Amino acid sequence: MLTILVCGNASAQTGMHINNVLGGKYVSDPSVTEVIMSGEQKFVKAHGLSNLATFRGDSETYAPILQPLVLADGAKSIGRNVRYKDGKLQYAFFMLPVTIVNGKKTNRYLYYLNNPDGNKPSVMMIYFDGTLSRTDAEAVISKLSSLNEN
Amino acid sequence: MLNYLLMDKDLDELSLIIRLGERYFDCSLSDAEEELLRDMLGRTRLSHPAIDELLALTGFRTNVGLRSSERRLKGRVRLVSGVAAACVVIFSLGLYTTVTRRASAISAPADVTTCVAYAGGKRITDQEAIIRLLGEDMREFTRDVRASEESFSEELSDVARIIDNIENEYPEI
Repeated sequence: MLTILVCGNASAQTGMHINNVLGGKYVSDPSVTEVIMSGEQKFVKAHGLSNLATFRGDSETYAPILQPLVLADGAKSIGRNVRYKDGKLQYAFFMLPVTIVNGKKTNRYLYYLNNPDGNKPSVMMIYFDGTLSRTDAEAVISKLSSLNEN
Repeated sequence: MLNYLLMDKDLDELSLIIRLGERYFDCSLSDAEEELLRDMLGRTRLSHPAIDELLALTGFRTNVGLRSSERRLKGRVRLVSGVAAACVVIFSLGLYTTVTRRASAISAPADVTTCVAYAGGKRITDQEAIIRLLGEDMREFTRDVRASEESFSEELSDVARIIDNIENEYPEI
């Protein structure tokens, strides 16, 4: 029965390691912010996305947790841009293998940035997927950055 | 008369035990009938080769006390099995919920709408507040990425300068 239950859900889960930090696991920590948007959500659809998830937390605490998860997911990427500093992952962009969701080809993108030296040392991870191309993905980042800009 | 009645009763009992015994070996007894056979074999004062054979082959105990303790043990085993089965079901449901929850954190089916954020240890469901929070996080992200790229470019320039200096120490002849 366990096998049936677990296997029954395996298709829904994309098998991503970063799921381990999402879903409210660390949100009792005030330094953590997490956003999850998916499905028939107007905002998500307006940006050509199916799912969007972000996680930000204190660099010292969460970089050691996030880095291995992001690298594990990025290991099978089909496109990447990765930078290390002082032996630690500083920036990563991964274009993950295409998946088929509801008969549609879905592109998946994963970003990671560790900034331990800033005024507010933080590490951030962004994941989103949809039918959007890599160029569109860059545009989405800049669009989302200009949200509610004063 | 009394002896006759007892004998008659014994015959009925023996006949019933034999009939039940035959059906026991045919595996056609219901649970209630099997329980009745156990009871009768345990309680009977009769002596008959058919009863001995049944006792030997079925492994039913003749001692009623032992049988009742066996029944209690069996009851306990059933109870433990029931509790274990319930635990498996509860654990499975828990696992199912966890897996679904984790899965839906990123890969929610298209017909499931999720819009939730957490900040400062609080859960936020107001869409405007979520979008504001998302905007702030993304701005910080792009600012830090830019800073990281500038720092990377500076490092590359430093490396280029070092290479230039090394090459200048060994001018071409």
